[in-house]
Amino acid sequence: MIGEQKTQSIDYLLGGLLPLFSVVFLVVFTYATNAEILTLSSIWGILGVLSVIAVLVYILWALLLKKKPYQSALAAFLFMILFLIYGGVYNLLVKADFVPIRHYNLLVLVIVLGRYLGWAVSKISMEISKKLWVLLISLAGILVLFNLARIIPVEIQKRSQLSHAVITQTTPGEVDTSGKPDIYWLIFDEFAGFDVMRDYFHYPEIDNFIQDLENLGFQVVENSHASSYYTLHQIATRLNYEPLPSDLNEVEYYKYITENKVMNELKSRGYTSVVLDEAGSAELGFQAKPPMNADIHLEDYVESTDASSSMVFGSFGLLVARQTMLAPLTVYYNFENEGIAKHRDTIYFVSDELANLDLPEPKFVYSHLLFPHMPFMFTENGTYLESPYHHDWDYYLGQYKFSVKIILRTVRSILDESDPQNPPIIILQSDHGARSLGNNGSGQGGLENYDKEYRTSIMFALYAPNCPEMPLRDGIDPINTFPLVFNCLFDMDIPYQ
Amino acid sequence: MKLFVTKNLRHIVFASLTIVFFLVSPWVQQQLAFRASAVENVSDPLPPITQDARMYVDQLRLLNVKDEMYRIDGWGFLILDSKIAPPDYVRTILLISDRYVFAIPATDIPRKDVQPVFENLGLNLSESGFAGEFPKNALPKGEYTISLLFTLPDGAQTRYDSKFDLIRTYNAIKLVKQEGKK
Repeated sequence: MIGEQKTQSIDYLLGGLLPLFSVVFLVVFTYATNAEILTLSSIWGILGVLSVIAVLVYILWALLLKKKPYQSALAAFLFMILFLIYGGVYNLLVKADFVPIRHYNLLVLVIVLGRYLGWAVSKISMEISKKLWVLLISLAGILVLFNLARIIPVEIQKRSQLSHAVITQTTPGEVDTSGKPDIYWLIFDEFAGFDVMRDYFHYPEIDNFIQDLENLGFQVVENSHASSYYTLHQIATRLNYEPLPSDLNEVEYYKYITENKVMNELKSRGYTSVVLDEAGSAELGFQAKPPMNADIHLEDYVESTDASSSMVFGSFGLLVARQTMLAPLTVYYNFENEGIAKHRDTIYFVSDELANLDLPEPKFVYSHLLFPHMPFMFTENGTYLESPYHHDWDYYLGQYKFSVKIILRTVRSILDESDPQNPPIIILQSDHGARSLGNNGSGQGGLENYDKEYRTSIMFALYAPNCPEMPLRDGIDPINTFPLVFNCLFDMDIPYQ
Repeated sequence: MKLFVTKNLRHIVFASLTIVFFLVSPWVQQQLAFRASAVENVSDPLPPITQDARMYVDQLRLLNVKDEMYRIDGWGFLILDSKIAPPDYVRTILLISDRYVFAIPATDIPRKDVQPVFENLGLNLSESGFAGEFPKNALPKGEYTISLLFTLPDGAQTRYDSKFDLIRTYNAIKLVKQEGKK
């Protein structure tokens, strides 16, 4: 009798592994697909929540189907499959638009379906259900192991890079820095080239922006194209002024960005390197990207007005939650507000405060804003848009127009604060153009009839009043950005490409 | 078959009710949302269309994700010899489809940008902007022409149709410019 009870307890414990494995598989699979840009710590919150739900569902089925541990496991497993794919199914049905789909009517239908699937499973004999359990748990186990095998090498590579990203300090006083101007490299991610604004977006007012820049003393380059439309590739290429392959994985590019020729050259000449890199932000960027080897990181200077720290799930958790029955709750939970608020404050920090910081001179300031990149959260007047629009390309143009205002505000504040006897060099660029990358699971697409060539069309404008002979011409490859500056400032002889 | 139905009658009824709920509940929600909103069903004949007016719809914007409240923004005014301009008369947004006409109360919005474009008309258009809010779920499926109803101080009414349609499908809503119209 005691032996039988012990066996049954073990059966119940084993049975619970199957619904748990379904959760582990989804989380591990999603993480493996994004391992290069995420950190391992991001999975625990969502894994914990989904695991608790899986256990509760299993306990509920075990109470309903008395003395049937494996049938309960299969019923809970089927229910969890429905639970985990619910968000995707909802998006598909909404997009198909055959019938009115709301969470309240679809959820009821899916829960009832899960109930009847469980009821059907309870009719299977103990012996067959145990065999099915063995088959499914083996399959789930293999899939989990397969995805772990994808993750482990990437994690090892990321960790080794992080350990190499040692922050070195400059040693002021070793080199003569007198008369050297500050250098600002301001990247506005996804800022479309001027030709694209005129030809595709039918926004001729972009010429007013060009005129404003020229009135401020900028040289504006037309028809400049990046060699790819991938951020990491472009930043790595320009920071090392060498053409890197465009098909490396993210971790390889991190290496080129963390330790780069431009910042090493400037450090050797006594420059203080200052970095504000939203491309490496945990909320919106490549969170696995190691910090750049800079003297000062400005992220700590940005004061976010939203002090809430309710990010239980983070952006990865949100990605997973939206695929599941937790999707309806995502509009109530403050998942992404903190990231959005921080992004907004970072944009205003660059436009209003960057120029006023009391930093050692001469300095090289690298600011990379994910702006007008997604999320499309601003209208052209700077009012905020609700989150359903954040991935809708119909709102790109409005955000672009607002980014023009932010750019002008930024450069004007830098010029106002600068020493007229030693004016700074300001490089305004986008990493790539508007890429029109859509369909991110939100059911929203990109731009219609959008030419692929538009994706690489970038903004390129340079303020360098003390370099009148700089060979800046229309159509120049942005790989030449720092050779142009260094050849002028330091009489170097870096060949142009 | 009969035996199966008799044996599983409870389940068949339950499953059928679930499917009925799935199909009918959005319609019930639409009725409830309509009653709770400021949107009115217009049953009276519509006033005549005037050509002596101008209007434009700037955007359809989601105001609130939880309640799915939307807002239509634009500007519009009458060209009258009396030179009266908003807010001297009342404007109401009309959504006109083959089956329904809905009225949404409009609020006056300052628009500094409209006045310079129509300088030659000699009107004070500083308040020519309008905005009207409505819950998405209150609108039944259909294609609606966005129109402005003008109610003058003497009670006379006229309307002007914009070149924009509001398309409400089962699950989405969008603003589209009518083909071939500028």
